[in-house]
Amino acid sequence: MASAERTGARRRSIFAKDLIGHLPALRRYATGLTGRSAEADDLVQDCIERALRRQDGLQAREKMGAWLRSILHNVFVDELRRRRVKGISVDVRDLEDDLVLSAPPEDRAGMQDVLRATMALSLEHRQILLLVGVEGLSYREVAEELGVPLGTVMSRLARAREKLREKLESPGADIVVLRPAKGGAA
Amino acid sequence: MTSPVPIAEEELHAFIDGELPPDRAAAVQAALNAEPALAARVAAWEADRAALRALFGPVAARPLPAAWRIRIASHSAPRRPAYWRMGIAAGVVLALLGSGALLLRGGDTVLAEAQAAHDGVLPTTRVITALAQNGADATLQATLGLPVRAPDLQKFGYHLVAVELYRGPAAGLVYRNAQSVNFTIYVRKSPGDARFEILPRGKLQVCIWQDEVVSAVMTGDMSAGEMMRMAGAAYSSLDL
Repeated sequence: MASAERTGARRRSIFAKDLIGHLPALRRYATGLTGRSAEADDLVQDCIERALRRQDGLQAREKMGAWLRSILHNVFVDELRRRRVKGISVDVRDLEDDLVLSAPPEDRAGMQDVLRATMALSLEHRQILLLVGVEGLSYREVAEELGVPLGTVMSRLARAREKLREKLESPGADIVVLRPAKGGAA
Repeated sequence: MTSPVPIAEEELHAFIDGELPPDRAAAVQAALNAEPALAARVAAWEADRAALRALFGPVAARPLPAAWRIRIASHSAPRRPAYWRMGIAAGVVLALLGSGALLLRGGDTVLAEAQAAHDGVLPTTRVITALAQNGADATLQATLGLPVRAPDLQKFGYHLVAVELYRGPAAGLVYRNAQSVNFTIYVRKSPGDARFEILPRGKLQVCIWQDEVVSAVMTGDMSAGEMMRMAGAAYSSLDL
């Protein structure tokens, strides 16, 4: 029994170390989804709580990145639904300046445009752009993580990049409402 | 004009992402060479991908909030009440905890050194008392060759009373509160791996917190919760 307890403690300690190791990338992904550092950090914090409570749900150590992103995504979608029910919209002019301010001055205007355009996309499109373009996942990994066929990953990515281009070439309205991708609760 | 097999829109993206088999990649390349308008579209997507990386990539390099590490460490810390349920085994386990044997598992030299330093049995090469904050920081940096400074723990009621230097090189920062209780931080170069653990040692709490550069072991007579708060404050202001 003592050794079982120690094994459990060791497993928790490995889990904790792995979790901390994944947080920088998880935070980057959360920031890409929300467009705001403060909101991203709240999201990561909620995600940490859920991950700690559900650590037995992690099938394999090397799947932790995907597992955490899926938890984070669910937390975010819940949050968006709550907001939609309350009718909260987001003014893109409020979108975090701190992300843009870390760029060299001459790049800031361009960065601001990219940030606004990205936030104006559907969550589904933003997600795939981030997974492939920023997190550096292969199409196969994305397919597995999202539970969709490889062909769907490719066509969704193509549409997402096309949409982003459209937004960048014709800057639209200043108000975007962040919504869940599909079938939002009412 | 282009390739014999028509190029699908998806293939243009797979080309950018390095996901095409060589024959299709060659076909896309040929098409791009032949059609400047197509090449411009692909270049724009590539530029957008680079912009997203530039925008969000730096977020991963920001230091993590100390609260996150602390929350995770506290959740995974040894759960002492479980030992009590083990009846007879509990005595054995507590004896091990008391002797510090659990701290030494895996030949943990940093913890062993810190424990000896806290207990005053690690030979010092120099002890500096009555120093100004600037003096302490300069001494630490010169001795350790690390970008560290002595954290200000006044808001917890502790002030720096001495800096002890050891072979290694390593340094012990000794803080004391109004009740003459010591809180020590043992600092040296990290062996390389990141680590965060809070371990009880008798009535003391020992917190090891290290990244790739600095290894810090904090020891104090306090509750695990207090240790988490102090360790969080100490660690986040230890780095220059």
